[in-house]
Amino acid sequence: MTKVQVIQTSAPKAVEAILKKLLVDTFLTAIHYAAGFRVEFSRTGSPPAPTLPMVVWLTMRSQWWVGEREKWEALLHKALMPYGGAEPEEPVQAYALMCLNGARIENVALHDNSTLTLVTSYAEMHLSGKDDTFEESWIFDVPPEVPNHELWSVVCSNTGELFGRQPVSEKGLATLLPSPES
Amino acid sequence: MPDFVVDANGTVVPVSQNRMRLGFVQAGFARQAAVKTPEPGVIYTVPTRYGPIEVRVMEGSISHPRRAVFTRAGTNDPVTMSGERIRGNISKQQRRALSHLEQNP
Repeated sequence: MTKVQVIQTSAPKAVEAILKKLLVDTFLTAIHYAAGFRVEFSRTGSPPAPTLPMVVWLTMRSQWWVGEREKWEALLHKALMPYGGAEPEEPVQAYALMCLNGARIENVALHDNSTLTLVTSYAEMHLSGKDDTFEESWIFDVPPEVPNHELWSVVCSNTGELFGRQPVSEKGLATLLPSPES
Repeated sequence: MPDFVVDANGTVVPVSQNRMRLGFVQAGFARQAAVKTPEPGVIYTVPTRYGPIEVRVMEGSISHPRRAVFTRAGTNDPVTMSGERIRGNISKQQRRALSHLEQNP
């Protein structure tokens, strides 16, 4: 059994690397709404690393959209039904998530402002790194019933601060820790 | 700040974080450290008539006040202080207000 230690990092490149490990080659397999959207990504077959979870949750708190922003804005004005709620983007977001159901994540990009792009086999999904309401913009974690859930998480705060956690073997720890001059 | 707040279901919650923690500890509720960010905090699993909820008791930071955050156990889904689910298409600000309690020490 590999001895692991959880390390925490706020370095954007390191956080992006954690997100790639967690997400690339997973599929969007569940959509949940309870006072906000949460989606589930899961993988098939064997995980590329023994501690890598088979299921990951993404809780979305900040503004997010699918595809090009201009086209998204246009889509918002094509409501299929009257909506009297306080967050008019949410019905369109629900539609967009259903369109992404089953999509495979091909790549992940974390931008300077902590905006996150998930490149899927169907379309690109973008999540803002800033939010003016909740403490977090977006959260990746692992369902509590999934093995190794306590070892992994990535949180982007409402101000764009990043907090990533991942397990590393003692051997891998030396290669991950930043050198003094970096 | 008041000493206690009462939600629409009659659930009474102390605004004092120490008093809240003491109550949870005396009740024997399971707890774990909040580790996803560097901000110190403890997560208590609290039984309610809606099922278990997690109360994330956070000590505050430069960015955030001292507070308690109420979510459905095992998720980040916001719920009210009593565990009741948040209903309807209300604003994000209202969802936050229903699921967060700003506290004093």
